[in-house]
Amino acid sequence: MKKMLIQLKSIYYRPQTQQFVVDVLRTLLSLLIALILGFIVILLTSDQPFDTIRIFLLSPLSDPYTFGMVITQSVPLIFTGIAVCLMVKGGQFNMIGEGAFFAGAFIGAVVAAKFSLPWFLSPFIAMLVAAIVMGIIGYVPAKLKASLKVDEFVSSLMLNFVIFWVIMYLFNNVFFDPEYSSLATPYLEDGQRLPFLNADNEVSISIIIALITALAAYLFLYRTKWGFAIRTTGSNVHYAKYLGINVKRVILIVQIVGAMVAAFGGATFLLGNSYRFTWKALPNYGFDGFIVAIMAFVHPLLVPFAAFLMGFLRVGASEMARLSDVPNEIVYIIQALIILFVGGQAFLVRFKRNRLKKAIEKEQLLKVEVRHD
Amino acid sequence: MTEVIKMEHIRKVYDNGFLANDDISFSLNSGEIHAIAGENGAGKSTLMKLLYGVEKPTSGKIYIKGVETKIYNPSQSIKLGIGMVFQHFMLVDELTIFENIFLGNETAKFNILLKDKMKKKLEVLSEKFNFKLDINAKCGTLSVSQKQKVEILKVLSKDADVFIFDEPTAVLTAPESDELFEQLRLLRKAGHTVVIITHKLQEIKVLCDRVTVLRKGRNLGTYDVSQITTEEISRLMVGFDVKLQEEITDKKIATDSLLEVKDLVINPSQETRPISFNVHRGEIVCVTGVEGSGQEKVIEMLMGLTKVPAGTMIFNNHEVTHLSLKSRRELGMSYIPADRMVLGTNLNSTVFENIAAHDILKTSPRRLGFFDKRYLKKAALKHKDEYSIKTSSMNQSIHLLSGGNIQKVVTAREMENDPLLLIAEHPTRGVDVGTMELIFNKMRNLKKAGKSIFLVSTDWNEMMALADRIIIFFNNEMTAIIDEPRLLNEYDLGYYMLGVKRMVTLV
Repeated sequence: MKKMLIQLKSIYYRPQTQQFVVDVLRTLLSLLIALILGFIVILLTSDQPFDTIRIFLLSPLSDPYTFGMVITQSVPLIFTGIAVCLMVKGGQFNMIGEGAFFAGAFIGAVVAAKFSLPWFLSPFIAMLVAAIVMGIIGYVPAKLKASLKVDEFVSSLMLNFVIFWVIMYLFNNVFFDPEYSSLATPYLEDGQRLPFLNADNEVSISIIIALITALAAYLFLYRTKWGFAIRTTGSNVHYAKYLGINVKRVILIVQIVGAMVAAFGGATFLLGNSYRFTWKALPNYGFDGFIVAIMAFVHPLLVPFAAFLMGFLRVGASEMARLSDVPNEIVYIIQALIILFVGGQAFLVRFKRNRLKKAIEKEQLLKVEVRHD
Repeated sequence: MTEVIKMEHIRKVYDNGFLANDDISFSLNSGEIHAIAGENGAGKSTLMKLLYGVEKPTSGKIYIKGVETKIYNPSQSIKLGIGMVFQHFMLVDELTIFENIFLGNETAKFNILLKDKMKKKLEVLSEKFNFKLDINAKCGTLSVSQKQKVEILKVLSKDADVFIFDEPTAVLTAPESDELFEQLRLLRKAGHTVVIITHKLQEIKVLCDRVTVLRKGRNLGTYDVSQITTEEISRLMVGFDVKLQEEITDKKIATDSLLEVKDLVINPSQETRPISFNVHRGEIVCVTGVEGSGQEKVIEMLMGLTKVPAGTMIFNNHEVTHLSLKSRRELGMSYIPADRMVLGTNLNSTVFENIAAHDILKTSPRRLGFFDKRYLKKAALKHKDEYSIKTSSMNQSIHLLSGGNIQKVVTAREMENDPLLLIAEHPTRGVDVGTMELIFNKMRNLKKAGKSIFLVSTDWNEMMALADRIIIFFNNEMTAIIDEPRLLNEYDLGYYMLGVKRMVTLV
């Protein structure tokens, strides 16, 4: 028993563990500071600040319906967060997630409405079609980067507008439902959509698909040779070349895969929670993917947690906007502050240092103890 | 002989958790040459960086001339009379020696430079310490040993009493080292204190008055060099007895050549004789030369890292001149690069992934690309034990290891990759004596198995222990091919490396 305790302690005091603990504490603390600053803004602007804060923090948990909204809100963020993780791990700052998510949702809605196959085959086919089409489009900035070293950040950002307007053209002129009162794609029958897990709060199986995607992304990145090649290329190109990794191909593939995941997510989200595609502007989920990925330390398994947290804040903010006199935008202030603190390398660095110093002393002490046993 | 500096109970923990110095106390006297000896990762450089103010101690006290002092940065330590000459020189190539020496330390009146006054000072110093330098030459044109002299003058010009040298002879040839030692003795005579960080036992014996031995961040004591033998010092450094004997193997007359390089041009814009040589199966060919003499370029071309301007390379009956690095590796080349921090490892990754990199990439697509982590980890653990890589776990981030241990990781990975030809640049640089012997043995085993090694080295012991032939480069040309390395003496080697001598057959 005592031995086990010592063993547990020695694991806890390993520098790696400490690093992780400190990172998590850092994130939570930055969340706290951001929330406090957000509350100060609420205090300054609201007539009933305490009620407002209570709504903001507690309403997402208060009833099953709002909690379902939190889960639904986190689905798109998981997908785009994963897409960003993959691309950033490969060293590519590609913004195509935004356009791919939007186009994926549109393609998914259109394709699913065309077929009516048994066992929910049509939504899955639609999701795959969306992923493949956007994979082909994602080839453009990827190839430009790999062969001509065109900065993928700029080209993908610009490409988003091209994608958006092409989709809007198709939407306005080809794939719309003439019988519906406003601009929308044709209605999706039950068999053409993803089933609900719980019809009461409208949580669909898209959340499960999202979690599976996160797990698959983790396994792909950390357990396969291709994942190894991607991570190596992302953190040290010279070393990757030295090992004989085909760096150009990695740069190409990782961006295509990223675009595919985002498009797949767009289709999944739409087919899980809507009856039609009705977006008339970019939904910003692709950009939010970066925020989620940063909060998750660019680790696929942490992405769902970060996405859930974001979903929580958003649902809280929209409830707050509905029930009080403070607008929704407060959540963007909080979001920005979190990113500033989490992204700031020097934040709490002294705390980290002390922690590690202590860890080493403890580790040595424990080694001595083990020897005495 | 007065005590100039005293350090008491110094402890230094780096941000990443590495304990570099653990309760070290020691002192320096005026007019002595003091060696800090120890393996790599023993904490020598850290201790000196603390004294020079580059790093701050976690705890402990530093007394300078009896007064407790806190050193916050190098400019403060310079004011206190402490100067340091680093391994990597910090000179502006475009400026002259004179300008470099007084850069940031100008004598001026009303913001107008007093060049004559500075020149006078420099002349006096050069005279006193016997530096023969043209102070108006641009630093970019200087040789390594001349650059080092400029660095020494730079410290002298700041009126330093204490000189710290970080492995000063690592970049020098034997005759150049002798010259440096003469100058260090002159400094001692003038009452200055000289500290040299080194792990070369011979130097300690020849040059130093006292030696402080560090191991694993601890001080094992300060000794008078006259009262301690080199064997005792090496035992203190490593912790056990080491015998670095030279194994004279019978020289096989091999005819079958594995690698043939013909008429290779290193720098097309320069008029040089093209380079041709070959490496036989089961042979260790050593290439040497002062840094930047062209041997590094040859390696880059051999591995396909730079394009070959002219010439051909044939490896194992395949023409490889324009092949990619990947296909060269597939043909059986393996490479230990000199730059282990950027080219040789991924510092953001774990020890495991760095050791097992080749095996991971060899995973067959039939497994859907999933590598067998448990199996590979077992293999990696075996390499870890064999090469005595010091790490608390395989999942440890590799940047927490010391430089010598990172070198071992690279060496282990490349040597266990079953190569036909191992290209090794300084494979034992910074590695402790015990592991050095182990790597030598591994290399001899490779050779016995009929594999070849193309070794780039400037370490005399390494060349003598391993080389079947030595090729010497100077100024992008070959100056000598030595067929009987054991008949070569250190000074001749130095002359070939400096281009003073040249083999008749190659002219």
